[in-house]
Amino acid sequence: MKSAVVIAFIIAGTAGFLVSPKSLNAQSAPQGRAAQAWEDGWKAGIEEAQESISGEAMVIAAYSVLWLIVFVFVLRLAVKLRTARRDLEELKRRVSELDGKGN
Amino acid sequence: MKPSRARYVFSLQMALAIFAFVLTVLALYWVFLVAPNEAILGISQKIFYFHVSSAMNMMLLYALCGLLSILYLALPNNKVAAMVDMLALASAEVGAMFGAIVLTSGPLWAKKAWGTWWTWEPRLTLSLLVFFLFFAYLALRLFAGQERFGRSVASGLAVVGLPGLYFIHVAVERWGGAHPQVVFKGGLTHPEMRTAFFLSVLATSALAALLVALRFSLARLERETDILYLELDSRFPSR
Repeated sequence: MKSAVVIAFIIAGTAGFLVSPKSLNAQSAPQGRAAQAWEDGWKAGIEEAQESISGEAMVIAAYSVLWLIVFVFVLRLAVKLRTARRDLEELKRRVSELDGKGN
Repeated sequence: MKPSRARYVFSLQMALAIFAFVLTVLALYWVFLVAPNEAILGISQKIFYFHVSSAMNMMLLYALCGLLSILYLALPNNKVAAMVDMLALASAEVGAMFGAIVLTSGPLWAKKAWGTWWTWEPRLTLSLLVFFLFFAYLALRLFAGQERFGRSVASGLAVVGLPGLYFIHVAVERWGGAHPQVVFKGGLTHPEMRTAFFLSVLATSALAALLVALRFSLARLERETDILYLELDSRFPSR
């Protein structure tokens, strides 16, 4: 029943979206150069931005952030995996110890 | 898990890790040393390769989480449902990681390309909303523990996020905005650029598969621990 409601919701939402008019474009326009980019396409404002910002700096920043996020995620996962394995071993040892006492 | 099976899983994960590492090195080599700079954007276009491939993986993992959540809600409370749920959780968590990459590398590219860090254009706004939605899913899961009710509520949230993924996919076509439609609309004509892009997609996909596998292993260990705790409590209440 629950899943039927959820599936019905998805179908209704998607159908509503598909039949919606394209005049839904009435979005709030951004300001400044972004507005220009919005109206004229993605190439607008690029030349002006290129003059003021170093592309190299942006590339270095983007790839640094990317690998930092991956590194932190992997590190967190490795620590949690190690802790979980240790906890499980400890618990198994405890159970077998108590089993031994019980017998 | 039996020791022989654990060893097999570990070997598979190691093989996947080596594969992902080799692909990543190859992709980075192609992106920075083989593919030429784009004529208008210059070197800053190099952000595109890992930004877009991360976005593709984010969408894929969120979709996987949503679909598995539907399955979880449909299944009775048994071991299969638990497995499905753990895989959904792993997908959501890795998807959130890729979401964080997309939402931080995107503004860095936008600043150079559009002259602004952020605009409230449809694709950006929807991506942010879906990211928050799956973040809420993870927060709910954190408090749900092994309880079916909390997990079901979180699954419902993931299912609600599914249409959002479709909207992100068609946002540029339907509502416009500053995002380019580079890959499938005649962009990236240079063959080396295409190779760099497809290598990036492969590398991030291999990384995603590895991380999901590791996160799934963690979820299994946590479940095993919880079950053992419950067993310990029921068998030895006065321990």
